[in-house]
Amino acid sequence: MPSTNAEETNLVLAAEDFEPEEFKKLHRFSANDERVIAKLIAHGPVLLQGSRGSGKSALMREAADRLPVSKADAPALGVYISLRHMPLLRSAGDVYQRILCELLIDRVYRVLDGKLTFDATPTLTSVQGGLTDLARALKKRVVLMFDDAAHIGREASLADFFDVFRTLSSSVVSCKATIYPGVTNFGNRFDVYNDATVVDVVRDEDQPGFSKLFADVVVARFPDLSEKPFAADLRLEEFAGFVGKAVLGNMRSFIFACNNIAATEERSIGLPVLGKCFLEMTTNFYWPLIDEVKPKLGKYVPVVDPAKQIAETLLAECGRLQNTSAIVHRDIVTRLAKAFEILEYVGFISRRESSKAMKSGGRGSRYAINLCMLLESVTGTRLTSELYQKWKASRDEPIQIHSKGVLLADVAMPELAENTEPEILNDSIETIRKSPAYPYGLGDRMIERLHGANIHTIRDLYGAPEAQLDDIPYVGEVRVKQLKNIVAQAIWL
Amino acid sequence: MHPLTTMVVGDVGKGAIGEISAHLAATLDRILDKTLELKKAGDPSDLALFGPFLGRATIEMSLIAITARFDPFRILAIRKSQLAPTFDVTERNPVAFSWVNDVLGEGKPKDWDQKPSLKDIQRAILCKHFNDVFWEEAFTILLDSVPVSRGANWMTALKRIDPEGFTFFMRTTANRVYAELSKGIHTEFVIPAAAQYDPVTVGDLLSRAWELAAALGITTCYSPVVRSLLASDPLECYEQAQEEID
Repeated sequence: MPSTNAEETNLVLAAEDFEPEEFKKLHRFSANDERVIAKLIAHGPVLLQGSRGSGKSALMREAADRLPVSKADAPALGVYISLRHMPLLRSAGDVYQRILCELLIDRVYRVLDGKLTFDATPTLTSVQGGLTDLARALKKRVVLMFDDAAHIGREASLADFFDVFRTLSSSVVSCKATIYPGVTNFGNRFDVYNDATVVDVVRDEDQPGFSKLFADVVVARFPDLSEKPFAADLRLEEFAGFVGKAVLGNMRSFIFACNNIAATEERSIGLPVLGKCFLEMTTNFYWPLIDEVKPKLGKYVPVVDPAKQIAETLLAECGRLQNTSAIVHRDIVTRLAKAFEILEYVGFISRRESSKAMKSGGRGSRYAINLCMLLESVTGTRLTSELYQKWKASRDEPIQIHSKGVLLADVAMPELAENTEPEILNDSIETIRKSPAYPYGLGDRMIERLHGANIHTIRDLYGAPEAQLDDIPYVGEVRVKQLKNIVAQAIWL
Repeated sequence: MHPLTTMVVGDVGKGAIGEISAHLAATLDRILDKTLELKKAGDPSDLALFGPFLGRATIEMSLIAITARFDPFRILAIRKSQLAPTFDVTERNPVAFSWVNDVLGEGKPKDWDQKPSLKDIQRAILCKHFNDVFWEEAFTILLDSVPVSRGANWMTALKRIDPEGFTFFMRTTANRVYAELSKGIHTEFVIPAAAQYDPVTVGDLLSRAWELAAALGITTCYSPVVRSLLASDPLECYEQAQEEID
């Protein structure tokens, strides 16, 4: 069994929640990741695009960590700033700009750690001037890495964010930001392809170094697991590569899967352990995940039901034929675009090819299907040796869903209301009770204590000052931090 | 030939166009070799001074070479003008290859249903008309031909582009990289260029220049209107080129 420390470490899922030393110790990067990190360090505006848990934040943190103020020969000063800040979610226009500038000023102060002065008031012009002066004093560029700027369920303030992004970008200030595929609204004044370079964070099993990266992660984060004996037909790199492929290259899901496998009481890791893990991931992670994400989606909440309908259809059809990918006609993809994007976002599917010829004529996008979920739809729900070999090779022609066929024909897109705030904020704190959707959620006693302290909704909990939480009986410094992490995971995508 | 040269120049043929291809191949080979030497040496001052020039030259030479394959008339016309006795290096050559006329095209090109006349049809390599006539078909064939496990990281990104959006994507990418490289060449900087053209930035720009040239080069190789490579596999060249620059 993994040690308690390792267990605790592996409960931290978001890169931004790691302490610096732990982050360095536990994160690994592939050759392709290094290319992305270089783009984040280099001059010029970059938008880092990827689904939830794809590793965007880890790449940004790593890039910023390589550019500390103390490193004289670094080409720039890196400032990582997480915009997981509730007032930003609820503001627009000048107010949004002021709050963002305040956060930025505070972050720059912290990064400089008293080694240099930074003079700015919370207005865009002042921050712009302050950063230019700072770059001049440093004799190098300043790289601003805005993480969590895009919130899928809140579009109004994103136009404001991208105004700031564009205004601050200059010959000595390089701005970088994370965005979500398809669903980030940039506003009218930001031309995404002309004003920035978009970099996709994609981990595709066909990329060189895919299996090695996941094997390195197992060694770093699950040393006990990496030393466990593997069954005859598995080696560490094969095991890691196959699990990585099953979760469509999503790092956060991979950690969940490894947590599950590390808890096995079997003496060796073989296909039965993997199969059990996949089925448990489906029941306890993936289906609850879409329910967890739903209330955060703002105006896209009604799209979740059609998205589930699409997922069920794809899984049933691919499961019936034991096939790992599907080509969906582009008319269907266009009609149901937001639903497909949500499924990609939660890691049920991943678009590998935009356009492939279909046998019946026309063209469609090829999606790889999550193998954990697919196993549940395969007759017998067992990961047999034959099935493992078949899925590992993925040589079968993808299944094809035609525009004039019956599959997905009955899925309809709902009307969307504008400017809807994420529902989750008004939900009661019972929503984040420990459950499959919130495996690290609140216990019953904690919920009682929070109610006793007049904290009833997610909004109340997120907005509560640390001192107020610290005053609650049996809640100390560590627990306050945990509470903040739990509620942040509930609000932010 | 360097694998990137092979993809963009193609096989060197005979006659006047063969002479042009041979010249372009030799020049591009030299530029690519120098780029790799510069990267390997890693001297920050040299990278800031020469990196942007080599990156921009890579893009320019590649686009000229690809134009020569799709539209030899254009490049042969430049050759004729340069061979003419009136050609004067001190004067601007009105038929010289230019970024605006030969790469981007002018203004808003007429759609086909607007009944464009011959003079309305643009022949800039990354304009709408070139897309409709050549690129979309070539890129579609490429997408249907490349096996799933081939092409490494650059292909993973390329496969996520729609054939209809290929030229637009290449055009905006080319414009951005070209502009960023150009600023590093112009000598109007009165502040040290190394602050903006540090080794990581120059390395990234060079890599983007190669990736762009390779994307256009490999797509050209799949066009049915361009002669296929006789002795080389374009996919292998594509993989080798990214291995070298990354």
